[in-house]
Amino acid sequence: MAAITLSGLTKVFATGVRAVDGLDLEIDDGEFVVLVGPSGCGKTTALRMVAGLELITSGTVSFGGRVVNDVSPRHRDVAMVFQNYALYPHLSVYQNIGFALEQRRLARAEIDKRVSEAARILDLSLLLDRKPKQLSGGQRQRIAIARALIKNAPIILLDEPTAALDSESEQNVQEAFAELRKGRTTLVIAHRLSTIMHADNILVMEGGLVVESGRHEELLRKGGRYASFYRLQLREQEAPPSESDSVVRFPSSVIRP
Amino acid sequence: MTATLVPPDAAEVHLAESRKERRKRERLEERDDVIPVQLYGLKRGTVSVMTTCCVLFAIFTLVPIAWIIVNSTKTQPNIFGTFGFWFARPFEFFHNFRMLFEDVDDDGTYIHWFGNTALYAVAGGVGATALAAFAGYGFARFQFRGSKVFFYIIIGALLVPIGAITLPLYLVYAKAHLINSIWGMILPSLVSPVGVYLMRTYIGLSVPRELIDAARIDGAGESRIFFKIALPLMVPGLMTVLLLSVVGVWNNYFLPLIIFSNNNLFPLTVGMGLWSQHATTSGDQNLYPLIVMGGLVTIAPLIILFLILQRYWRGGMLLGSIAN
Repeated sequence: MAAITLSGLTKVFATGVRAVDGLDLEIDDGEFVVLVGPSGCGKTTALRMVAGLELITSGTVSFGGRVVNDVSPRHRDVAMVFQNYALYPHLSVYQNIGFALEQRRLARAEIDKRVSEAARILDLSLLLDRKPKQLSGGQRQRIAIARALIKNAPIILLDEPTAALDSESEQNVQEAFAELRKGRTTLVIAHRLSTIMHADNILVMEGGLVVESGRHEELLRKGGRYASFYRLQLREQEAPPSESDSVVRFPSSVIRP
Repeated sequence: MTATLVPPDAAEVHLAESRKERRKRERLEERDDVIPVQLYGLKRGTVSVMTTCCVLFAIFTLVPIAWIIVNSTKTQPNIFGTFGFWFARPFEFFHNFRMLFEDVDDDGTYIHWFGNTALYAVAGGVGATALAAFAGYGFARFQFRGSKVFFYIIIGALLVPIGAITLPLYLVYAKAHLINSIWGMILPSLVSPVGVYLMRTYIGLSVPRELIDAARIDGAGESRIFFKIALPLMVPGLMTVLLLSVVGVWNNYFLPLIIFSNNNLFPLTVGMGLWSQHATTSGDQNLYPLIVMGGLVTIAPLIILFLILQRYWRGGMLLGSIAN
């Protein structure tokens, strides 16, 4: 069972900033949920608390009904893709992908087999001997996804997996991303419509709380904050391509009029 | 997207090249990374003045080394009677070198002191580097109660002059039976406040939190993360601390002077100080050439160590790891 339940989840940093403020959330087993919202609304902090990378001030995180607040990240059985790849620069692509299996002390043959399989799915087979610095941004992000895929964890967390990519690389990564999601509970922070539109549930966060939720069409019909965000994205896409490409940040002006 | 990506074709070429070719390529890449002085926006006059200052400082630093090299080839009368920065006949370099390893006035032999110094420097330097790495990593990447206070106490230790702690240090050593013990030299050498400070700063910049988070998610324990992920990225910082620690112990005069009375435990600094005293008081005709040659042989290992370690001081360790 890989349902995720967040109850009254709160994070107050030492500076007094209340990043997440009593967040309640139910994500069913196998559901694909996207978090959207402006910078500083608490998305990443919430995701990091689910992963176990951030101490919880109050509230609970439960996986399949079991509270995991005190369970360390290495024992939570989640896989995570970081916004900025977070690849081990001194290890080869093979070692990066197989690192999680090495920690489980699996047999070399088993690691070989699973790394080869993940590399085949993500079209990385010819790059296994290279170091991350010898690869393009899209290839690096696919390694990060392969690293998550190979763990075969029931819960996948992704922090803006395509934010650092151009449109062409994003296309390849989206396919890899779809492969990763299969049969797993997925919680994603995203800014690209191509990722957001396919979600089972979209949660719009503001000030550490979920202020809107629903499927893409429902939220558009509501005409609220998400609809404003969507219209802005469309306008950006119709505009001539710029350096920021198709990544459109959730504008603060939309959320906080 | 970073501007430092290497296209796959180029990467294939890199795999096929020999070590010599790779070094040549790395040298050229380093040269390309340097910002040409013409782009600094400085006036020609300013550049000339700054270059002159640098040259003068280089001369100031290198003159003693030149003097010691030239005078290591001379006899005692020639050391005092000829121009200090040019050679004189007879050429006594090899004779002086040979004499260096013979017992002088029953004080002890240079080779014995050299061995002691190497032991103290290797044990103290490597130990201090290891402890600085552990402590620096702890301070840089873990928050614990009192971490800031502990760190400031360590930094505060830098401000205490050695003269102020001489007497208490001697009394503590006497109680702990560390007088005339090699541990009396090695144990304090293991503590390097400067090393801890440098490693904390270096780790803060070179071991991103995201990599540690990723390793935790991948199921690695804290010791595994340290040794497998953080340590390889800390190499340039470690080499700096290692060099500083080894040089610090190698050149340490005061501590062995107060804890050793047995000549067989002396390091080079104290042993050669003893020779120097004898040369001054007894007027021994052969001691000054030995002292000069001893000085030259003493600095040689440090220069060699620097040349070996300098290849580890390179940037770009994190290329490809973290997106900009």
